[in-house]
Amino acid sequence: MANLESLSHSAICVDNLREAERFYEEVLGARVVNRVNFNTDDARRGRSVHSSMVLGDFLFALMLPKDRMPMPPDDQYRGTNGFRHGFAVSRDEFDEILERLKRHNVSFQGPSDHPEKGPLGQSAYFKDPGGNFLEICWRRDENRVYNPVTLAEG
Amino acid sequence: MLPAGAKAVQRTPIESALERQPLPGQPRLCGIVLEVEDVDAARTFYAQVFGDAGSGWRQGKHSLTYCRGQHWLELVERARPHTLTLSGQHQAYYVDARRLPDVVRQLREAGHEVSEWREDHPAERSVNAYVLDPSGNRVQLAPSTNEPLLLHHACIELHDLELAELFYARTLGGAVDYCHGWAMDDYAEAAAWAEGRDPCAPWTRRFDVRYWDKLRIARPNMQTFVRFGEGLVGLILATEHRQEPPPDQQWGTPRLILDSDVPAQQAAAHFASQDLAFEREGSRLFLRDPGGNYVELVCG
Repeated sequence: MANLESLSHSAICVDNLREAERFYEEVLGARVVNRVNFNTDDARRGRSVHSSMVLGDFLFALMLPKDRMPMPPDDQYRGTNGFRHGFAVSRDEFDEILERLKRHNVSFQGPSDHPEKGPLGQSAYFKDPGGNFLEICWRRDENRVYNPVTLAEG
Repeated sequence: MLPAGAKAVQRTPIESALERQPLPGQPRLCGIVLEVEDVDAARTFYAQVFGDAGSGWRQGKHSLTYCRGQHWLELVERARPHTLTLSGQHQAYYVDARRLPDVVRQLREAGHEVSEWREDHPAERSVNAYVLDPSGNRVQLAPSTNEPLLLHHACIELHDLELAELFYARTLGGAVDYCHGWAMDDYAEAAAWAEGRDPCAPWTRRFDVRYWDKLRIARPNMQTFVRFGEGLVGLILATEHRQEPPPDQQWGTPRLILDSDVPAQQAAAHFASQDLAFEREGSRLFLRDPGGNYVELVCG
């Protein structure tokens, strides 16, 4: 069995880095930790063009795809075969994010109730400006620590 | 005083720049100072471009100034002018569209090479004429109709576009007008340029050698345009490092000139409070941007 430490990061392709950064910052509260290939040294090294962001303890890179991406229909809120990134938030934050989605005119599906005996209370489903599928949920057992992860320095 | 055992955390230049407060009010681009080898030859050239050999010109002791509307161009003589001919640095002047074909023809007849390129700002996606002045400053002829001003935009090069944007749009209070190189469409366009199907100005595109597979790929060169009043300052990513002036030197040429309604005393106090180096002479404040380009702020 592989001995993995944790999820290191995800790369999320978007068609406009600036627009996507703003979405993740203003709607979900992420912060930019690094932008790559916005300076001469990166350009000369042939590095990829991306923005690294942190959301809670989740590190992800907003990348530009190699080619234009097909955008899902407006009324589709869960990806092909249900693929999406899901973020756990507190019960209060859940409601605040829904308000922020409304303020930013981001349509969403939900909140959807989960079975009462399960760990999740409610979820809402939406997309980032690049058409990536996202979910926020609050956990009934939010005081329970499953697997604390510390972001590496640097 | 840090608690025992605590480490001092060094802020990055970007973190420091993010903490700065903008200068109150929004300054306006009002002038450019350029270095030329011979002011008389420069005057002949620019008089032809501007269509004004007389009334707009003022002779100074060591310089020559041309004014139109609220804008001016100051030419200062230097034995070895710093023109950055091979960079993205250039100045775009309004030229009456009805005169433009004749101006281009006359420049060509006078032996100047006139290039036809387009750029990426939404106002510059059509092909424009570009020419070097006799000293090597790159001049763009921006067609206009009844435009009372002189300057459409001025472009400078910097080695870090994030810091550059923070300096011009945050510290100096400009407004980001357009960014290029952040979107998938910008990269798709670069492929057309690489295939010779898009006459882009040389500083707007580049080839990168991708580090993991050594593939040579066409990319847009990052650009950010910041609005100061009616004028734009274009920030172009430098594709190589160039010699910068000494770090403690705030006053030099070439430079951009911005004017502000803020009194000099208030602007000086503001920059001092933001830990920003500057020099002051009366109502004029002199600064340098993070790329070593000089900026003059003419205060109200």
